[in-house]
Amino acid sequence: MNAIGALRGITSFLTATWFHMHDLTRDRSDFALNLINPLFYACIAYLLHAAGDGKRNLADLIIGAGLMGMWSSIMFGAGTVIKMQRLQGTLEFLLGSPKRFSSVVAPITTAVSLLGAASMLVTYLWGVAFMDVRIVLERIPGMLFVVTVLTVAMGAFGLLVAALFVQARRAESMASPMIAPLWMVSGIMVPVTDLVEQLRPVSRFLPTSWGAEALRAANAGSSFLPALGWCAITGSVYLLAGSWLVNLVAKRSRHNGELNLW
Amino acid sequence: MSAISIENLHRNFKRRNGGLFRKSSREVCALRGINLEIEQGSLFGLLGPNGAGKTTTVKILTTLLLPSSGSVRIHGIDVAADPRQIRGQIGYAFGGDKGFYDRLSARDNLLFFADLYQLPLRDQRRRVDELLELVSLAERQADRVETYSRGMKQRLHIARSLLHNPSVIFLDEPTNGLDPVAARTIRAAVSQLREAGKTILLTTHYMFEAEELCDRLAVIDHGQILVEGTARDLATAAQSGIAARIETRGSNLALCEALTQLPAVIDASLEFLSDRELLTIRTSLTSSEEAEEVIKKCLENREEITLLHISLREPTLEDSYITLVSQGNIGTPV
Repeated sequence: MNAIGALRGITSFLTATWFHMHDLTRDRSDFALNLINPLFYACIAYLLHAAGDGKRNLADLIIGAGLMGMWSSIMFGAGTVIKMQRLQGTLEFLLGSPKRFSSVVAPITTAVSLLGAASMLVTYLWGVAFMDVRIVLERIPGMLFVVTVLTVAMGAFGLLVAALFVQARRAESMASPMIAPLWMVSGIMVPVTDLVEQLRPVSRFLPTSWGAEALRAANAGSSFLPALGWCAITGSVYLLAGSWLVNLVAKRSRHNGELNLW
Repeated sequence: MSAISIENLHRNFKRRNGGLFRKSSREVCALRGINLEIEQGSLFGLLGPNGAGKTTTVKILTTLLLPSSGSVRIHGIDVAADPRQIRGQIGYAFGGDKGFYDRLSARDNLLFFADLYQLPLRDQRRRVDELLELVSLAERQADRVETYSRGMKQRLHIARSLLHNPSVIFLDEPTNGLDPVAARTIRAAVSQLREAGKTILLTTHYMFEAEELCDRLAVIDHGQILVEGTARDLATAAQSGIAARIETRGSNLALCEALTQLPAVIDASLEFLSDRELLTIRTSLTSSEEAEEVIKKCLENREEITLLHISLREPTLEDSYITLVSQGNIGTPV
């Protein structure tokens, strides 16, 4: 691919992501709920902090609550959005376009991930406003950089979720029970080091674990680049695996004619 | 030269039944060896009852389904082997009001699909403006699609199918459920496309529409092409002759059955009106006098029936279609 082709691809990706963001935010009640939900997680985290020994860093807890919201957005949002495409009859037009199906779905999951990032930001501001989380201005650029990389990585993870929803009409029943274990394993509620030893390796395969580590490091003013690097690497792996899987289920649907897509 | 070439096309679906413990599946044959050649620049009509295989054929042609066997080529390119190359050359509009991001405007929708169909960025806005003008939606372009009537959505479907200026267009029941005025607008748009040299495959339930628009037609039923040709060829294959429309008092279904037993009668149907009955009889007779005589002879022995009015007409495409589908004739392709 030459430079013009790459530039065209990036422009097209950004345009499509913007379009889907626009579509997702048109329903104001849905959008507001998406932002409000993690605030409750933050409140629970705060209450647990207040009731506990108070040794945990409050900012870390609030970041964790924001990440829980982001996970929920991806696990439900990426799937629900695919389900919505099916219901409104746009899924078959996406499949029938000259682009690869994965490059059509990626902007959708990235848009969902951006909503997750927005909910994380709101949660953090909520913590600053009401829960004594201190904001250090010089650390903000680092945190924003981490959130940007994490958003793209989570969008890539969303491709896997989208593949599940393209393949199975009732994928919510599979996605829903996975949310709480993923919260625990990914180190967003508690640091990975606090998990039982057998579970720790699992967390290393999730971009959120690295993202949470990087975000906490950025917030503490320490070096976040190694964790962020791993976040980008795991995200890239999910991008490749998710793209392959999404293209595979699209091909299977055309082959089997199981009417999964329409 | 053929724009679309279909050879011995088969498509089977696996239909699963049962619950968690007692599962069963059976294979349903949706297409059973379809052969079609559609000329470049022609408007071809595919007619058939519900479940005949029209939509399955269109879905295969638009690369959304793979054939179980057989070959489908568009401009010589194998649809199954190279779907992405084909997609840039075809456009399709399905009937109904689904298929758009309803919460966004028509313009936003078309810009998104223009990008999806890889139109150069600099051309997208100009092309969208042109098409909105073409389908008379320019004034409402900024409104949410959810506020559009069914007819407007259908016009938007057609605009979308033309974004990348495809040479082949598939229209699946484009006027289905539209009011007569909206349907006429769509038909005018389809005529314009034909005049612009596009190859069009149209599926429809409306025979007058097919007769008005299509150069050639095929009737499909139970996954097979029953007959293919011009409207006249279809009439010849169906052997449909004079059709009679008779107003009576006292007719019943037994009369219909008795009429269909007559060798010259292909089909008879009865419609109950408020104070009379309307009897429609399709015959294989080519002479009006002969047809009238046969019908009157059948009615004169029935004292309970009063003949109010009889009118005879030449067979229409609808007559040929009903004859073909009701008899399941497999005519010789013309």
